[in-house]
Amino acid sequence: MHDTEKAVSVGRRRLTWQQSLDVLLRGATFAALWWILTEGDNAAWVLGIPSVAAATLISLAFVPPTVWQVRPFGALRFGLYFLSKSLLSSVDVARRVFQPHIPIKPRLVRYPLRVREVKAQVIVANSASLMPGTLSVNLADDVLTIHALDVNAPIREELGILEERVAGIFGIRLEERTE
Amino acid sequence: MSLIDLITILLIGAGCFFFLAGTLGLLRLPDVFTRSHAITKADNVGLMLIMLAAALQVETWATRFKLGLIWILTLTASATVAHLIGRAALNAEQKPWEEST
Repeated sequence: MHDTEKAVSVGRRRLTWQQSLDVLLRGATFAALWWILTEGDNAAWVLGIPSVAAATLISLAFVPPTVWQVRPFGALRFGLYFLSKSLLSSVDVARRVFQPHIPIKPRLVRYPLRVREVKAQVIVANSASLMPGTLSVNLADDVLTIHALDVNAPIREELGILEERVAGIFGIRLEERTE
Repeated sequence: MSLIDLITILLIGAGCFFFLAGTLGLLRLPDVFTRSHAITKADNVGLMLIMLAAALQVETWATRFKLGLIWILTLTASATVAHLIGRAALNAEQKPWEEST
């Protein structure tokens, strides 16, 4: 946990410039969503501006201003990795299910995570489900339980790379495994 | 028929192929976990290809972004739902299928 996030969690009233940036970013995101949903209809902004303001306030009530530390290059790298792997995962599924005898050797695999931030863990778990041969079925106490379609595939190596890519989005370090 | 139309047809065809693979997996695989694998992964890519095809045919960029947004929301939801179903099955002590040798 970073120091700035701690300051937010105890409910400081005054916003740092980074937190103000977060509020602005949320407003911009909701405005972009409105533009997309109305398909660029200018007349709709009469409703759009109050809606964007309301959405921003509601989101702040649920998730207090935080400091986003997204690395653009890291996010791009993760995006490309995710895209290529998810394409491969579908080809892999197709390759298996069209065979008369489906070649699978499923097992549950416990994978102790090296990323400790919850948001990063959730991204790892959800991404793993869209990658070849892995389906996340539980996430608790820094351990990800994976249902592997083929136990002979290099599951741990693949998950290791995925973890590194996700850590790269936020520029966070990977902890040593505790078990 | 323009080149754009040809690419659209190819993308939709490929998209349908993956939807077919996902559905076939859902029908043919032995348990809830393996079925989740097939449907989650194949439908994600199937939808992506069909959204790309649709993006070639629509008029404005706002609509293209909307198609992209639909894909992102669907893939996030399907990955999350797959996780929840898997966890529920684990909690219900469903034993993952293993090939009897």
